Amino acid sequence: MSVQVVNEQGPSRALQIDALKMCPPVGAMYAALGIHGCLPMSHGASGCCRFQRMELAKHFQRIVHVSSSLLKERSAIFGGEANLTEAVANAFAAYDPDIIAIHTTCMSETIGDDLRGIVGNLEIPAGRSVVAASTPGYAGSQLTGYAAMVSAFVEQLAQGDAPAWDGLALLPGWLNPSDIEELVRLAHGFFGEVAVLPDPRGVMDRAPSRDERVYLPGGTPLADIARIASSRALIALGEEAAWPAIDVLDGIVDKRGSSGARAAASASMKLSLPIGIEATDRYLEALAATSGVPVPAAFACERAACVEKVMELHPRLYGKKVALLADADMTLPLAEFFAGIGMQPVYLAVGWADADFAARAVDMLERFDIEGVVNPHADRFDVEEYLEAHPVDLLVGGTRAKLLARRFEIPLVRVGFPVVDRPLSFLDPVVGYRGALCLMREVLRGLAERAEEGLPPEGLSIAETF
Amino acid sequence: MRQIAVYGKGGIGKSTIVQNVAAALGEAGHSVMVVGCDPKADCTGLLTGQLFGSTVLEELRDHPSSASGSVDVSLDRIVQSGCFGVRCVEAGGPEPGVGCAGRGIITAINLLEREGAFTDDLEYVIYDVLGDVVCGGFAMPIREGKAREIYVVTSGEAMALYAANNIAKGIARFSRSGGARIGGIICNNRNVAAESDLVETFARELGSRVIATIPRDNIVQESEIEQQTVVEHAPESAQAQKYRDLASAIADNDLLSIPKPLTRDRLVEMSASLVRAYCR
Repeated sequence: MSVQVVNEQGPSRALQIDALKMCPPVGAMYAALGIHGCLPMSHGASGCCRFQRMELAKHFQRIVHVSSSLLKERSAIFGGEANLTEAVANAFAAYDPDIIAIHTTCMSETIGDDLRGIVGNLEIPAGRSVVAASTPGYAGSQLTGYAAMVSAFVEQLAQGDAPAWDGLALLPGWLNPSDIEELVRLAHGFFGEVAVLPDPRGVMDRAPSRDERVYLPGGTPLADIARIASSRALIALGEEAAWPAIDVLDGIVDKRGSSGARAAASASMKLSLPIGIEATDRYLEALAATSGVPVPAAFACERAACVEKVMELHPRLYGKKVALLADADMTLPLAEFFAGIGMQPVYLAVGWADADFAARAVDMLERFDIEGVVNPHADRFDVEEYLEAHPVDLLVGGTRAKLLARRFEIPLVRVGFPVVDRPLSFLDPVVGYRGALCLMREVLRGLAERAEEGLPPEGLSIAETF
Repeated sequence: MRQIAVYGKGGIGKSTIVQNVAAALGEAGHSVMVVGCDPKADCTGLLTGQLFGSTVLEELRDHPSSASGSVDVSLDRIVQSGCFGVRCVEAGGPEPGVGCAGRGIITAINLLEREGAFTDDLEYVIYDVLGDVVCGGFAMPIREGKAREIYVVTSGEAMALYAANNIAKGIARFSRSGGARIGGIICNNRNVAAESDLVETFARELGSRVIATIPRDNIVQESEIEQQTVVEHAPESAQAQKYRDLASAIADNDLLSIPKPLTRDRLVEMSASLVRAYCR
C-alpha cells in the first residue's frame, strides 16, 4: 500500500504538453473582478491581457473588460512607467471605475518596473483608488496571482483603525459565484454580517452593461475591504489562493494591538476549500468556534440528508477509480470527498502546486488507504501516459480533459476552471453539503450515461431499483 | 569589414582605449566606426569632442513607430563624425533603475543593421560594450557572427581579472554558437604588484595572450579634460605611440582563439602565488 509522488520538484520535462496550470495574471484578474467598481489593468503587452481574460470570458460565457498598459519594445527598454501612468489616466477618464487593480506580467517583471513607486507617483482622481500586485507569469499558477491580488487589496486598502464589527470576513479562494453563495448562506447561520473578499457574485454571473462606465452591482464593496481587519472572525478557504492574504491581515491586526475585537475571539482560521462532507464539517465547526453560535439544526439536517444519499448511492460508486485534473486548492478536498464515499482517487494531477502539497496529498490518501499517484507538476500528457497503463472509471476536471475522456471512453465530470463547453455549469456549487450532492449527482450521471452508451433503445432500462 | 568587440570590467579603461585605437586607425587612413553599447552613452565623447546628443534609442523613443514596429530613423542624427573621420554611434539606453538596457542594446544594433549604418566602405567596426555583461542583451555584438574578434581589457587587479575571466565564459558560449573568438588581452596598467606577470599568466592560461600593455600616464587625463583622445591632443607623446602600436597589433592580428575560462580557485591561487613571489 503506497502513495507515489512524481514530479515533486518540478515537471519531468522541459516541454509542457497541454499544460494544466494557468499563469498568475489570470488569477489576479479574477480576484480584481470580484471587487465592486473595479477595472483590472494588466501591466504588460496587449497579448497577455487578451488571452488571460479569454479564459475567464469563456468560463463565464460573458464579455470581460480588462485594460492593459500596452507595453511595446520602447517600454521594454525604457521602462513601463510612462505607459502605465498614461493608461491609468485614460482608464479613469474613459471607464470611470472606482478602483483600478494593476497586476504585472512576465515582461514588466523581467525589466523590473518599480510598480509601487510608479503607483505612488500617480495622479489619482479624488475618491478613486489604485491597487497594485506583483504577479510574474512564470512563478506559480493562477492561484498564486489570485492570492497576490487579494493580499494587495488587503495590504493597500484595509484600515488598521477601522472600528471593530461583529461579523465574519470570508476570503473564499478560487470558487464560482454559486459556491460563494452557498458559503455565505452557511455563514449566515452563525453571523449576521458577512463580508466576502473577493466576491464574484453579481459580477461574473451577470452580463456587463453596454455602457462600459457602468459597473455591475456585485463585487466586494470597498468599504468592506477597508474594515476587513476589524471583523470578529476571519476565515480563509484555500491554501494557495486565500491563506496568503490572512498573513497580511494578521500583520495589520497585530499592529492594532489587543484593543481590536479580534483579541477576544479566536485567531484567524485557515481551512481547505469546503468540498465534501468532512471539509464542510470543518467549515461549520470553524464558523461555530468563531461565532460562539452552535451549528443550527437546519444544517445538521442538510448533513444528515446528504449522508443518507451517500449511503443509498455509494454501492454504485464504490471502488470506482477517479483521475483528478484540478488546481492545487481544489484537488485535495475533491479527493478527500471521493475517497470518503468509497471511490478511489488514484491519480491527482495538478499543474502547479507549492512545496508542501505533496506531503498533504500523501497524508490524505494514506488516511483512506488509497494506492495512488500524486503529481504536483503535471501536464495532460502525464495524465494520458498514466491512463494508458492504469485504466480508471472517471475523469474529473475542466473542459480540456474531454479529449482524454473520449480517448479512453470514460465519463468526464466537469469541475474546476475553466469549464467552457457546458454553458451554465458554473451555476452548480461544489462546496457544502449541497455541493457534495451535486458532485455525486454528476458522477452518477456520467457513469450512467457511459453505461448506456451504445445500447439499442430496447436495451435501455427505464426502471431503477433503490 | 572587421567587426571587433571590446569588453572588460567597468572603469578599466575600455572606452579610452577604444577611442584612441579608433583615432590611431583613422589617423592612418582607415575607415572606422565606433559603436558605443552603454546606456550611459559616454563611449565616443573624446572622438566627437562633446558628450552626446542623439543616441539610437533616443531616436526610437522619440519618434513614432510604424505599424510593424520599425522606426523611421535618420542615420544623420545618430551617426556623428569624429576626429580623423571616425564615425561614432551611441546606442544609449534607459536611465539607471528602469527598463532593460540589455534589450536596448539588442534593439539598437538591430536598428543599425536594418538602416544600413554598416556601409561597405567601413574597414573596422568597434563595439565598446559596458563593463559587466549581465544579461543576454550585452552579448548582442558577439551574437550571430557580428563581432568575431573580441579583446578584453584588464589590469592586474584581482577584480579586473575576475571580471575578464567571467566575460571569457560568455565569449566561450558564443564561440560554440557563433564563431566568436578572443583576439587578445589588453593590459591597462594600474601599476599593482606583479601586474605584468599576473596579466600574462592569466592570458596564457585563458588560451590567449597579451596583445598590448598600455602604461598609466597622466597625459590620458589631460587629454580627457580637453575632450580629446591622446592621439589627437598629444600626437608626439609616448602614450599616443602606444595606442598606435596597439592599433597596428590589432590590424595585423591573426591569433584568434576560443577562451578556456579559469576556475575561481585557480584564479585566486594564481594571484596569490604571483603576488607573494613578487613581494619577496
